[in-house]
Amino acid sequence: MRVLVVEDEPDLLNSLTEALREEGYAVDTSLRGDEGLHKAISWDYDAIVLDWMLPGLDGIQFIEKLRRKKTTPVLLLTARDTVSDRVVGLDAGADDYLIKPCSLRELVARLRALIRRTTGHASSRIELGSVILDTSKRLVEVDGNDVPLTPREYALLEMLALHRGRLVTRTMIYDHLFDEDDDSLSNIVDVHVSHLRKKLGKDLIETRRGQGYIIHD
Amino acid sequence: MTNLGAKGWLRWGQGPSSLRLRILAWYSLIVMLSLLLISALVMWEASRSLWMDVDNDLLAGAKLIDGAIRRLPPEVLGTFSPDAGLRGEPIHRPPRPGGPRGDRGQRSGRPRPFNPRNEGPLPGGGVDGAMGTPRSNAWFQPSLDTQEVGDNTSTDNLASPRETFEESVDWSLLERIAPIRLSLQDAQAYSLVWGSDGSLLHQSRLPEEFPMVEVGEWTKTSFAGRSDRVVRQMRGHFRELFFKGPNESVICVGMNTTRELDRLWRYSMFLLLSGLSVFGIALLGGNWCLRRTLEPMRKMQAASEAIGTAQLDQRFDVRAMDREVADVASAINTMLDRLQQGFEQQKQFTADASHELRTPLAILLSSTELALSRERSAESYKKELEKCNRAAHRMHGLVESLLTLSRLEAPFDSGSMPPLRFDTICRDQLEYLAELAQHRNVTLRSEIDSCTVHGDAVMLERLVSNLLVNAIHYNQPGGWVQLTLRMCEPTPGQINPLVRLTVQDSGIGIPKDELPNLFKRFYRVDKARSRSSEGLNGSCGSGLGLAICDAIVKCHGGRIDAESVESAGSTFTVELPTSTAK
Repeated sequence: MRVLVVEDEPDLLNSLTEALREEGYAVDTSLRGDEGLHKAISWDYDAIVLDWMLPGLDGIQFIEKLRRKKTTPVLLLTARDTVSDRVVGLDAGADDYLIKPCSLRELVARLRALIRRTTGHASSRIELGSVILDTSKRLVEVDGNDVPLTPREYALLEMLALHRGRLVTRTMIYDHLFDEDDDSLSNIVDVHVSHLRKKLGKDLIETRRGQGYIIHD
Repeated sequence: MTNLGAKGWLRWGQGPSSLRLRILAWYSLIVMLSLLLISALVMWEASRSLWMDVDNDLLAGAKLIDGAIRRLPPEVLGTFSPDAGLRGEPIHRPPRPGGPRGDRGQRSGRPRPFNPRNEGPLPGGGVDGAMGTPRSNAWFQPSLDTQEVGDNTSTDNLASPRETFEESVDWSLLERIAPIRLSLQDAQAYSLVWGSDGSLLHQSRLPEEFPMVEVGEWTKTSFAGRSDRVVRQMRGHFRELFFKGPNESVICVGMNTTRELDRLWRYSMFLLLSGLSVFGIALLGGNWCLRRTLEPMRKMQAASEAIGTAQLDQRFDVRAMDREVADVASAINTMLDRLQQGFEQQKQFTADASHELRTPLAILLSSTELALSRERSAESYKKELEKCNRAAHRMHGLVESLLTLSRLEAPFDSGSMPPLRFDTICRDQLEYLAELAQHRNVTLRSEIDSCTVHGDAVMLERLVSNLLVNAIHYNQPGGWVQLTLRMCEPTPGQINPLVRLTVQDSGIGIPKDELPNLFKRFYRVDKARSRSSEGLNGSCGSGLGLAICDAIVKCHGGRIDAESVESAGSTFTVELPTSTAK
């Protein structure tokens, strides 16, 4: 999952980025509203964490401009706490509203829920035959036994699982699993897929040669 | 708190006086006085016209007698002698009903006069007219006490002057020519004639309760010191008119005015009752009007009570009100405007302050949470701690700034503070900030005159430092900051010369439309630039630096101004009153 964090406080941005990366997200950052909007339009992020008071372009204008082109879920993270502020923010097109200061755990949970909803799933548990994904705990079970996965492997599996029944192209995987700072090798996806097959069974992930991967329902 | 318009007088009990009751009291007093005045005028006019009518009748009667006796020879009217004029002859009471009525009746040969006492009990109890007897002008019929007169004549064998007079007058002619005058005829009227010597020549029947008086006294008092022909007087309830007849004779016509007095009495009673009812109606009507008039006030009170701090945006609709009430309402509206503005400012300030405090708090919480979420390397802990430290410093600076501002809101008399060398403060601050300027590649220049101001040293240091830090921060690399401190001529209306501190920079400048908001709290021209920068004392970057400057300058009785040309630099000018002592 790849998210964009737009926040003008460098220290806070740093903490948020660290926390999200540790949760397995690919994180892009921006200190300014206009720069952030440019990134948000250029890439298909799974979610955007947005501050309200931003230099260049404030959060509300950001959402309004973004909504003309994309439906990327936006979580507004701001110190503005009044009811009318929240109404304005949500009405402008934000999908969730969180008031600073907030717990990082809550932020991550809300982000997960946001992504889950936008991919059309209501539950945090995904069952793929004998393989069960618990997206809230980021755990994978096969026949009731925990299977240890690296964050990257988990992220790849989660992405394929969330888009199950649909083809996930290599480009999509690159776009959603790696942030702008990542300069991984081009065959890194193949490596992760082969690791997943070793751990979860050969038949779970099907390769469509030259196109991408798919997990069948 | 001043007690507005509470009058101690005309106030009942201990509670607040009621405007309605007070107005009502005054109003009823005025109504009562005007009613009394009107009643008095009406009564005066009524009695005047009544007495005028009576007097006219009496005068007409007197003139009739005058006409009748004018042709008599002078000796009949008596010869004038000063002694005789004062000779007292009592006016005789009319004879008793049981007296010599038959004789008198024969003598007069006329129907009974009006006096019921003289007529005796009437069989039918009716009046003259009802009895079929013609009305007579009985008021001039002579009433000689024949017994007495007869006694006189028998002893003196001479006709008394009175008898002679009565015989000489042609009373029948008088009756013919005298028109029937109602008041004289119906009233118990009477007539008297005195000769020039003061002797009683004629006397008609006198009313029963006629007050006795000496004739000499009577005539004497009547014309005493008077040159006019007619004298009017009231004697008891008898109205009398004295008329100078021919040959120094005096004719008196009088009448019982019990009926007139009774009429006047009934009239005044009627006036009193109608006045009372008018007063009652006026009182009730006035009370009703007052209630109606005060009704909008009560409504306004109810509306004011409904306006709480939550609905300060509510206003009275002045268009639907009468002018006087609308004036009050619009004054309240203006007050509400100011109140609302104050509340909004306070709310905005609180919101801004909480926002500014939340940001570093968010950093603090997220950093600690992140650091504690798992085991980390020492380097990573150090990084998080540094973040926390920065956030804490920022919060400290902000709290200090807020405290400074709230302290500056308290009343402060700079005049009572010790005099300070303002030039020293400026030099010190320049020195402290030299390092920062060098770090930012900004040249500091200064021109400083020595001058003294009254004030708080810490505050003034902060003022100079804030202005300098701003000038250094919002500068361009290689730019300069010029601090000038000069003594100035006092502006008109001020005695002491001024100290003018100018801090000019070659920085990025401030857009013209931002200038009016510059000294507002938490106002930032460019959020991006100020956020990342930290002032020496933490106030810069929070949007409070210039607000604090403004508050400090105002505390010291001075003024602060900003001019700016975008991308060419800004100039901040502070003017403070000096102390005369050097």
